[in-house]
Amino acid sequence: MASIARRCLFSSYRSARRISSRSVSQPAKQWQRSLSCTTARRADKAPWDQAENEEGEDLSEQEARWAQLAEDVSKIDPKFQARAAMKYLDDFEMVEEEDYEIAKDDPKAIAQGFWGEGEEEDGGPDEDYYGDDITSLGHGELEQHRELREYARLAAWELPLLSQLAKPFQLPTAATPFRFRYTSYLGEKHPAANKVVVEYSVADMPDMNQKQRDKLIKLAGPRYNPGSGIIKMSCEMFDTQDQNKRFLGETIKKLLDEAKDLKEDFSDVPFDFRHHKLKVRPQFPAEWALTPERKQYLEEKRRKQQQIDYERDNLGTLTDGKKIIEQALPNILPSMPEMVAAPNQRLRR
Amino acid sequence: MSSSICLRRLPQLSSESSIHSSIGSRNLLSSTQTSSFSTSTARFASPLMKKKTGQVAAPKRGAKTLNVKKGRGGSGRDTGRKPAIGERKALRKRIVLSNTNALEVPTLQDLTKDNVLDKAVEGKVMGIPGEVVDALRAVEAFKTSQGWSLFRRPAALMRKETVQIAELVKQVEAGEAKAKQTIRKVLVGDKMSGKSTLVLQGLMIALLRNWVVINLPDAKDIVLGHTEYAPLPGSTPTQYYQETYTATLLSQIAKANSEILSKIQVTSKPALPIPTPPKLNLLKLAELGAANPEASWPVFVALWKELTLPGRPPIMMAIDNLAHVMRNSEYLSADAKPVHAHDLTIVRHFVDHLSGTKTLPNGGIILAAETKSNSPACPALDYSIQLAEARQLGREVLPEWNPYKVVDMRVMECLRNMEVLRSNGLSKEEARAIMEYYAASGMLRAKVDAPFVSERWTLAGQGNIGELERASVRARI
Repeated sequence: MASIARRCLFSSYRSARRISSRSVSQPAKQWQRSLSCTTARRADKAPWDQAENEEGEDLSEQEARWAQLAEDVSKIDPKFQARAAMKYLDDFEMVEEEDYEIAKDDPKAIAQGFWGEGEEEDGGPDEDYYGDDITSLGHGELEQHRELREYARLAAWELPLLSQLAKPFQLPTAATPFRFRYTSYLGEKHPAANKVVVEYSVADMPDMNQKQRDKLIKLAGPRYNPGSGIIKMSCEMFDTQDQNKRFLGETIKKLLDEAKDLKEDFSDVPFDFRHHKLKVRPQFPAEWALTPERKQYLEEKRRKQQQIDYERDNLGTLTDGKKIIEQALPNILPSMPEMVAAPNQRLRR
Repeated sequence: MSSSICLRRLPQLSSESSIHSSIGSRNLLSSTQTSSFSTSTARFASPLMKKKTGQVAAPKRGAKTLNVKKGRGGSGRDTGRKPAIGERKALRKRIVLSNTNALEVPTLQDLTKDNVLDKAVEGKVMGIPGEVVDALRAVEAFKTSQGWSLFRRPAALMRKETVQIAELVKQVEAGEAKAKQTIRKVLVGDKMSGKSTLVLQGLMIALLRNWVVINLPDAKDIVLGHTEYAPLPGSTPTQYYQETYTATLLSQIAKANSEILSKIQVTSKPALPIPTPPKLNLLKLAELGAANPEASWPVFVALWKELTLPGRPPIMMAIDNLAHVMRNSEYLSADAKPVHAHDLTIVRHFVDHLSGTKTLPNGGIILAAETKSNSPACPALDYSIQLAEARQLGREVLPEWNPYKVVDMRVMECLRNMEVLRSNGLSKEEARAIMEYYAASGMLRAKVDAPFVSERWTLAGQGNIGELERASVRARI
């Protein structure tokens, strides 16, 4: 019969280990292979002596702990001690020494796993699945859920902070006539992410007279929109936005320099706006709008017409196609021959 | 299953095709489209299909069998007569000017020499007198697309535009003997808005007023390349004349204007390649040209010369489908270049008068009508019409030529100063007049009152006359 203290200590091991030893969490630091597999030798001690000594030390240490414990226990009020022991004995009727033996894990149950318990075994054991976990589909679901939560957290906590970075909109001045457009795909890779587009109005270009502006429009070709008077250029030749923007800037500079140079002013070349289709918006003429006056005028007109028609109808001068045909038909159609019953042939037979 | 070609012939066949590949390629119809060696027909033949046994029991004697096979002896054989050559075209081009089932309109008045220029006829439907109908038929002024076959006899509405033409006729006649006016007008307007009918009415007025009438009924016929042509000797740059077409034109002129032409004697001595009788009137001259196509063009020139001598009647010249003569014709020159329509003598003759480079000494009117249903794209003509209209309306901003369109400078030059007469939709009063005529002819079974007229006028796209006829006479709703 083991002492109460011993029982208390070992009671935690009483239940069978359901969770496989393989699933026991490993320390974060991986075991690292030492450079040599032989134990390190030390000059002062022989290796076998060392092993013995260490064991002896360990034992004495354990004994000391046990002694300490026994002493602590003896210090506890004997009444209380007896009650606790009795209670423990009542709950767990562990009398025999065998009761304290730890049950071995059933290797078959381990192989089958928790989820496969009671299931018929088919095929070999799943290499990746140890029966201690939910399925990969479940993991996927969980992962998605985690991700959603992460973004929900971002939306709730981080996004409001972006407003601190907002700058108040300021109208572009005459000094900044170029409007650049960059495209961000929010961290994703995209073939058009390096594209830069610039738009500028020809009328906003400083220090240019009409001839130079005309030349600029002619040089811009189909990039010029005659409806809005805006030239739109884009570049995605290079890998980065900066390079593309630089190229655009240089091109615009060259274009403006060329337009300002009136040695050749292209006055003999007509504007070519074939690329631009004017959007025709048909509109009803203003005279057709049904104003109250016009409504009244129309009603008056219709009433007069009706009156005239009524009078003509009474006089018999209103042309009625149906009547004319009815009157004309008897004169046109030849009189129908009178039908005479033929003698009954059957009777004659 | 047998293969499509006897296998023994296979090597022979391949060698044949390789040798005579050029011959084989020309004869597209006779060559079979199947490849010479193919098993796909057999492989993909439906297994459900029954094999032809060829052992159908013969029908019993006396039993009637159904034979729907085409070919000899079959019941489905086409026993109808095949149409003769040209018969279908004649049917297609037939002009029917009378409908015996339509009622005669008792109130219909005929136009006369006196009342045709009267303002009082405006907005009335007037009958066309018989002799004028004959003359108009001779010059092919009636078109199959027009609704003459719906009514008892030809009659036309004297619409606003017709009265405008009558005014022009009056203007020409009122001119002094020395300075007679030559008026040139191009009739434009929407599809089915009555442009060809306006030409017809112009010719009608001219015939009633004893003018000489020359009509080119469809410009497409001149440039189509269906009549023979030859370079005109001594012309630089080379012009081309069309013997047959000119001969037909001369015969039409002779038929339509026989009364006037027969009264005029040839005074000058025309140098013609054919022997001519000593005493000759213009009718005889024209008939001579019609009978001898090889001399038709010199005869036409001589006739024109006679007609433009002082003291001769005014001339009305008209052409329909103008856009066809404002481009290259289908004829080729000696160096296989397309001949411009203006290089054809008849077209040149007309165009010179239309552009104003030549005038009519005795006065006259040149009418040209564009067509919206069968006309080639002619940007120069479209632009000239826009420009002329803007000019006539006194617009300050004139339309600009699109410099990126191909310009035909000859056409631009020709139409530089042209005047336009737009045929718009009918007014409601005019619509009512013609609908009353429809009803009186028994072709419209409805009471013609203001709401009905208004409805059909609106349906016809603000009184487009062709659409109005469609909506009220042709449509059976």
